[in-house]
Amino acid sequence: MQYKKILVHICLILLISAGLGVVNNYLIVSKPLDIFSPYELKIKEVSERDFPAVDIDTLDILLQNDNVILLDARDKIDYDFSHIPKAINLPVRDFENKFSEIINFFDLANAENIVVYCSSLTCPDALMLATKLEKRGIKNVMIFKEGIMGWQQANKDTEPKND
Amino acid sequence: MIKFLDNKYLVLISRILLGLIFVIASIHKILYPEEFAYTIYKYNILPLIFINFLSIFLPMVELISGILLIFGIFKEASLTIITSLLLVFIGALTFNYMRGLNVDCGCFTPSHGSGESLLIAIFRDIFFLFLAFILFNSYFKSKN
Repeated sequence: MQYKKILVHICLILLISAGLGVVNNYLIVSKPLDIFSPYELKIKEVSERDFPAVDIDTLDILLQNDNVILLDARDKIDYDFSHIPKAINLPVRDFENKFSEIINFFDLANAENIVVYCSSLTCPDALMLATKLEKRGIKNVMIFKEGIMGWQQANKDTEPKND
Repeated sequence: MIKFLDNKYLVLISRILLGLIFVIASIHKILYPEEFAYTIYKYNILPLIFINFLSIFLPMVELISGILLIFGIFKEASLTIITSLLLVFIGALTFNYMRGLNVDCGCFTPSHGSGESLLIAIFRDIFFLFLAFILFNSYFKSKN
């Protein structure tokens, strides 16, 4: 009987919390979340807290000077379809396997500039990849936030195939 | 059970301390749910569909349960919720520690890049769990 009473109290606390949470979210906080939508990581908003951004012209110069390791965080199928020239595919969803391969050929730990990108401003993969690289002790990671779409919109060359 | 765990002052201090910890832990998350959502996202455990809901709901549960525990209202219920949360937190932290994903704990404030060790967070939560155990020992034994 006592436990039934406790269970009722627990339900009451959870219900009140849910109600207050909704009120707080929609009426008080400056950036409310949409409860019923999946979480959407906006690179534009959060990446600057963790990783510096590189703009399209700087990336172009870095690539021309061969002074950057450019990593494409998208899946292989997207990379094969179109990618920025000199980019290496390191899909965030196959990170463990690919990372051990890439580390044999590229000295990521001592690279001066590492830039990661994915599709566009709202895709999460570049930030996820940058986070994973950081956890492996790799520094100097930057994000090209505009991604492949921004690159194409600026009429820059892309490579259609991964050789 | 060990005698000193029944000491009424120890029980009182544990109750207020545990309640305060949860109240303090909830404040930043309640004010900045989008930052807490990002912390949950980086844990890489939950499907994206649950993250927004949890970011809104969980900090409020922490706050309400913490306040109720401090004032001794519905204390068994709030203690049960807090203990369950601690077990979930310890589970999530341990899971990420075991798979080498050293994400920020985000237990009190999102500490981007602060490098706080997950292991420290796990041991801290185990200490909080010990406080909860003292309270459980007191409240539920006196009911029997």
